[in-house]
Amino acid sequence: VTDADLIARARAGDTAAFGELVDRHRPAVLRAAMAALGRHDEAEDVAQVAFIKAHRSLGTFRGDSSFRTWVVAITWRTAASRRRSLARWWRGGTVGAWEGESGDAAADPPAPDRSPEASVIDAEFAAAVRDLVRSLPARWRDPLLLGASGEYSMHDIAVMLGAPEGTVKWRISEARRMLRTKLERLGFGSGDRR
Amino acid sequence: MTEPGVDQRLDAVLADMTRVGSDPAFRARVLQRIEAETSHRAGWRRPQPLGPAYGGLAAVVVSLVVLTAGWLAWRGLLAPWHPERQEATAVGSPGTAPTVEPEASAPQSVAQASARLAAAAMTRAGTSPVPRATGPGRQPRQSPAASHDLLPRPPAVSVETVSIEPLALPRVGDAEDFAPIESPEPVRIQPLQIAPVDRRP
Repeated sequence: VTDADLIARARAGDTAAFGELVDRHRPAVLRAAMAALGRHDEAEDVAQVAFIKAHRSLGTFRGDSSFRTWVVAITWRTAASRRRSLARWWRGGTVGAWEGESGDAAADPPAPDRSPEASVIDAEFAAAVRDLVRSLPARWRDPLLLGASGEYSMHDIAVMLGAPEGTVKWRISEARRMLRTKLERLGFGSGDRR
Repeated sequence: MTEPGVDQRLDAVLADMTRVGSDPAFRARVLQRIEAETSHRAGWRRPQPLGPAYGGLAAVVVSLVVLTAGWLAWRGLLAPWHPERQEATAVGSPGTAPTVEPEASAPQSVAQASARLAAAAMTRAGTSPVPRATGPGRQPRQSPAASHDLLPRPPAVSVETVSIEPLALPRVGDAEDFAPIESPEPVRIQPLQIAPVDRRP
């Protein structure tokens, strides 16, 4: 069953068909919200709100783009609005942001093929990357996280951010360069033995 | 850590930052919120069963207000239907007070205008026995103590013939006090002379 069929049924009032659409695109929607907010509770709520908005606006969906691109764009706008309203997010309120899945990285179980020492180094590296990403401005951080998620094409990211694809690619490249430079200063460079 | 190793670890950490787990109940939560929103909207669109009741209540309130106002008017507690004022106006009104129409009687000069106003005032004072506020025909208000009096009350309005001597107002220019003041000679003001001050020691 294609998305178009499910959309047609959902427009006719079939709630189960829309539920199927929710199941299909939940990861993409949640990842976008997570990239914007960095908190699982806020991302969960924004994702639900985005699906509700999509259900309310199904009549206006013309099919120019895929349903996935459309709903992800709705999600990003909703998440960006929520991010603006969360004033604490910029006033040092990012404590706990992007620590949801892994939490304290040092608490993750070590990979079986890694030595305990290498696992500790990986945890330190992950913590440093998280701190550096948090300190990046949103115009660099957003495309970097969206691109690194592997969930979206450049076209999707460009639609979400409202920027040309070339600009998105350049911002991702620049953000990665900034991160690498700062990681080298912290001792995680390519020439380091760590 | 080699260059490819750094990039790989960086990609892994970045992907982990947006990683989402499986949540089978997510779909149910979304559909529940959609259902709640739909029923909420439908509730607003549904015709209100209490609508006729609200309309009847509003009609009763409007009727009470109208009846109360009418009762107050009948008892004379409202100004436009005050019986004393009605009677006083009826006694003093018919053609006794001249009306001054500013536009129709545009004064040719200030002296003529003041003369006309003075004449109008004299006419009004001599022919209107019951002025609006302090006329002799108006009865004072009953005090609370007097309201308990069982004696028959005097009529509200008594018409008496009052003769008032018209006030003689001199015309401007007739009296000597109003003679034009003419200066015998123009006043000359000497310019102020300021002498320089020598402050040197």
